[in-house]
Amino acid sequence: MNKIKTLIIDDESLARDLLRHYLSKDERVEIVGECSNGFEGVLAIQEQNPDLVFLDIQMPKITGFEMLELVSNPPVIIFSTAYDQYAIRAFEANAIDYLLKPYPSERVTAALNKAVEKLKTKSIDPEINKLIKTHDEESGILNRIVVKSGRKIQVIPVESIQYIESQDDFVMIYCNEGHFMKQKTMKFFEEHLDANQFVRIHRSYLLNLSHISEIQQYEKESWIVLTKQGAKLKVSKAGYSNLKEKLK
Amino acid sequence: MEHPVTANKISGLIYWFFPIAIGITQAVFNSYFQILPVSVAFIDGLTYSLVLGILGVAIWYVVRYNDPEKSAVIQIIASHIAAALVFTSIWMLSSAIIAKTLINDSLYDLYLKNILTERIFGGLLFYALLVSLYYTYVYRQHNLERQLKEAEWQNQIRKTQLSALKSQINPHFLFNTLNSIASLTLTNPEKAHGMVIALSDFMRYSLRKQQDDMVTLEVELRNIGLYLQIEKIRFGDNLLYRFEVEEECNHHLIPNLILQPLFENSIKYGVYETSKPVEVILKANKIPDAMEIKVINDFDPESVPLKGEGVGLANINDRLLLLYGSSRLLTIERAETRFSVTLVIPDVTDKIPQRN
Repeated sequence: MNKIKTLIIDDESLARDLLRHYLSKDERVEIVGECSNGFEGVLAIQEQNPDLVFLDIQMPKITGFEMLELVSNPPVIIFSTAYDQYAIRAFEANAIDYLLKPYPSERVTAALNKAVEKLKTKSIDPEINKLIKTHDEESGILNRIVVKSGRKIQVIPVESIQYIESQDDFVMIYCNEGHFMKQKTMKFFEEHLDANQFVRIHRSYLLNLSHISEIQQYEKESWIVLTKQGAKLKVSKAGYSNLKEKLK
Repeated sequence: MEHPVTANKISGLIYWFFPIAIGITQAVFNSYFQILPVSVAFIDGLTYSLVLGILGVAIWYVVRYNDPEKSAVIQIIASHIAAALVFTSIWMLSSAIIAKTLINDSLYDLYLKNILTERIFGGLLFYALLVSLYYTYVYRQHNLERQLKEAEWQNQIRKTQLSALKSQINPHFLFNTLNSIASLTLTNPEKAHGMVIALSDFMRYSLRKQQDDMVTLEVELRNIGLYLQIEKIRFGDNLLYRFEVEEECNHHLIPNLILQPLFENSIKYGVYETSKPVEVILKANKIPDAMEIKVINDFDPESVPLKGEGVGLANINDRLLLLYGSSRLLTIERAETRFSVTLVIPDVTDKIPQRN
C-alpha cells in the first residue's frame, strides 16, 4: 500500500514539531507539507492533493472551518485543536476524529487507524460535510465571509456585502471587492447574517440595507431597488413588506 | 423583634416617664384642690399609674400578634377593641383592689365613683396611644430590616459581578501552552523547563489573586511579563513587547488582573490574526489624581476578526464602574494599524468597597 500523503496545518511551530515527531514514528505516513495558516493550507491541498490533513481550528486570517469551505474535495480531516469542550461538543456527535491538545502518540495512532479505514473505502467522507453543517448551525451571526476566486482567497467583512443572489445550488455574493461564488444556501445566509441589516427582498435576493440608494415602483405590485453601485434588483410583494418593516 | 421597652435603657425610661407623670400630676392636682388628702392622693395616683404601666407592657404582644403585613385590617381592629376593653377593665379592677387595701377612707370610695367614667376613657385613650407608638416602632424595625437585607443583597450582587468580571485563565491559552511544553520536552527540554516554571508562576498569581482586589502596578506587570514570556515562546519573533512605566507609577494600586484581558486582546487580534511581527507597548503615566495606562498594539488592517472584540473590554469597563463609580475610565482608539486602549485608574481608593 502507498504511504498516506499527509499535510499538517497549524499556526504554531511547536505544535507542528510535536505532531511531526509523532508521525515520523509511523511507517504508513509520508508528510508532504506543513502550513502555518489557512491561506497556505488551501493552496497546499490543491497542489499536493494529500490523503489526510491534520488541521488546527484557531489560526490567523481564517479558521480551519473556513478553510474547509474553500476546498472542493476535502481530504480526510483530523482536527488537532485546543478548542474547549463546549465548542468540541458541536462535532462530537459526528464521530469525526479530533485530537485535543496536548495529546499522546497513541491518540495519533488511533486516529491514523481510522483514517486508513476511511481511505480504503475511498468514499468521500460524508461525515466531514455533516461536521461542517453542524458547525454552520452552531455559529452565530457572522462577522466575515471567506471566499476564493482562482488562487486568491479573500476575507470579506459582512458590511461590504451589497447583496447575495441565489443560483441553483450555490449563491453569488456581490460586494465591494467583486462578486464571488459560495457553496452555501440562501437560507444559511438569511439565518447567519444580522437580520437588522440584511433583508430578503425577493426569492433570489438578500439585500444589505445600507447599500440601498433608491426604491422605485415599477408595476402595481412590484418594485425595484437601486443599489449605490447601480445594480437593479427586483422586489417581490412579500419582499416589499419585509423592506418596509425594516426601514420604519 | 425585641420588646421596645426592654430593648434599651432610654426607651424604658421614656416609657415609664409617661404613666408616672400622669399619676403624679393627678395626685398633685387632687391634693392642691383638696379633693383628697395628700397621702391618699399620692397612693391613688401612683397605684393607678404603675398598674397602667405594667399592663401597657403586655399590649406589645397584642400588637405583635396583629401584624398588619399578615392579618386583615378588620381582624386587627376587632382584636384591638376587645383588647382595649379587657385592658381597661383589668386596669380599673386591679388598681381599685390595690388602692382600697392601702386606703381605708369612705371619702375615697366616693371619689372613685365620681371619677369612674373619666378613668375608663383615660384607660382607652392610653391604650390607643400606646398601640400607635408600638406600631410606629414595628414599622421602623421592618424598614430597617428591609434596608439591611437590600444592602446585603446589593453587596452580594456586586461580589458576584466582580468575580465574574475578573479575567479567568483562558482554557485555550492553557491547553495550547501545555501542548507547546509537550513539544519542547522532546526538542528543547531546557526551554520546556523554563516554560513550566513561567506557567506555574502565572497560574499561581491568577488563582491566588482572585481573593485580593488591589495590587501595585509593579506586581501586576510582573505577572503580565510571565504571560508574555509564555506567548513569546509560542509565537517567537512574531511577538514583541515593551513596558514604559514612570517610576512613581510602580506603586500605584490597580484592580488585580485588570490588564490581563488587554494583553490577551492584543495578542488575539494582533498576533493570532497575522503572520507578521506585532509589537505590544504598555505606557503608564501619572496624571492629576490618577494614573493613565495605555496598551497599544499593531494589527493587520486587512484581517477581519472572527467575532467582534468587546466582551473583554466591556468587562473591564464594568469592573472599573463597580470599583470607582465612573463609566468613563476606559477609552479605545483605533488608527490605521494601531489599536490602543487607555485606562484611567483614580488615586482614591476609599470608594472601593471593602470586603467583609
